[in-house]
Amino acid sequence: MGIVLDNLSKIETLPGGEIALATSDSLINWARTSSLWPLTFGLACCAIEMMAAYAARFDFERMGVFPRPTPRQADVMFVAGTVAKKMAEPIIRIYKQMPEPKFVIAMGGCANCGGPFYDSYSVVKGVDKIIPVDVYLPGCPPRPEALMYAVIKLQEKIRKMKVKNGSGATPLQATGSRKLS
Amino acid sequence: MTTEEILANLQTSFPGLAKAELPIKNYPTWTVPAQSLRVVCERLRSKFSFDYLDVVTATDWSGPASPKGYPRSPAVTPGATPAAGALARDVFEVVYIVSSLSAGLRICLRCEIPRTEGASVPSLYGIFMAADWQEREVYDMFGIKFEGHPNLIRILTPETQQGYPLRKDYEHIPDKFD
Repeated sequence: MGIVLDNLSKIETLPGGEIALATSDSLINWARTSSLWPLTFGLACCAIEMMAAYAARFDFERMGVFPRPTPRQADVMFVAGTVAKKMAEPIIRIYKQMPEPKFVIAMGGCANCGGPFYDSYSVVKGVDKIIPVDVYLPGCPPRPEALMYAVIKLQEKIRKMKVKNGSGATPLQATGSRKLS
Repeated sequence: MTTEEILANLQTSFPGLAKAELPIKNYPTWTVPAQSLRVVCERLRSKFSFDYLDVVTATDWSGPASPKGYPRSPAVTPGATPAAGALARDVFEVVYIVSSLSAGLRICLRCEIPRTEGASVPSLYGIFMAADWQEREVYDMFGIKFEGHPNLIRILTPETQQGYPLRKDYEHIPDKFD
């Protein structure tokens, strides 16, 4: 299958190579980091860069990032673009529909803090006002390489997660299902 | 038939109709009183084949916005006479652009209404179906009521939005997302 067991931490191959011992954390985190399935979901021009990252030139799928058309099958949500207040309720709703563990990457200046719409009447100034965010990715819009870097940072975060007591990589994730407005 | 001839033809029935002093770009621009707006549009559609409503929008003429931009302060005191030569006056202006695809003509209609809280114009829904969402947008941004519109609710901003954002005296009230 091409799995290089030597490169995984805390995985030990017994002599003969037929049995491997590992902690459940390292196996589960290895599976989670290698199959981050994002929701097919874009809000503004950042979504164009996100689509470019999925396409042949950048080939997100080699990192296990494969867009899913339903929140029930998605692990990560790229908030790619300006979050209008009209869109805030649907975003909270689809975030609630994603199964735990779930991660959010705020992509671009608008999703981070409102960007050029910092004093607008109709824009949520940062998607972290409505849902918890794991990785903030600046840029207007960020290039596909930057989005890949954000995914690599998220993978680093996921590797620190512990199954014990359901604790996650962040204090927010440790609380399990989160308090939403 | 040119727009001049159409205007002359319509002016026999609607004396309030006139050529606007300030044209929009270089389009033929007419001013229409609010009470004859619907009948003029009906006539334009049925008799002169103006079958396409391009744009419904509005302007708040109550003076320039504050140079600081945001939040804006009211530049014209309601009811006061404007300064000489100033364009600012205490009105809303609803602008319609109608096209005749067969004749290749396009006309702007400007309709001034007093700038009050419950300012209203007759809805063009029923003559032009395209008026449905565009009038909702104007209502959302300016608070102008369109009499006879079947579903006049906000379209772009959430229901929690307070006030009408494109009015010159709009001041933002922080809501649950701010």
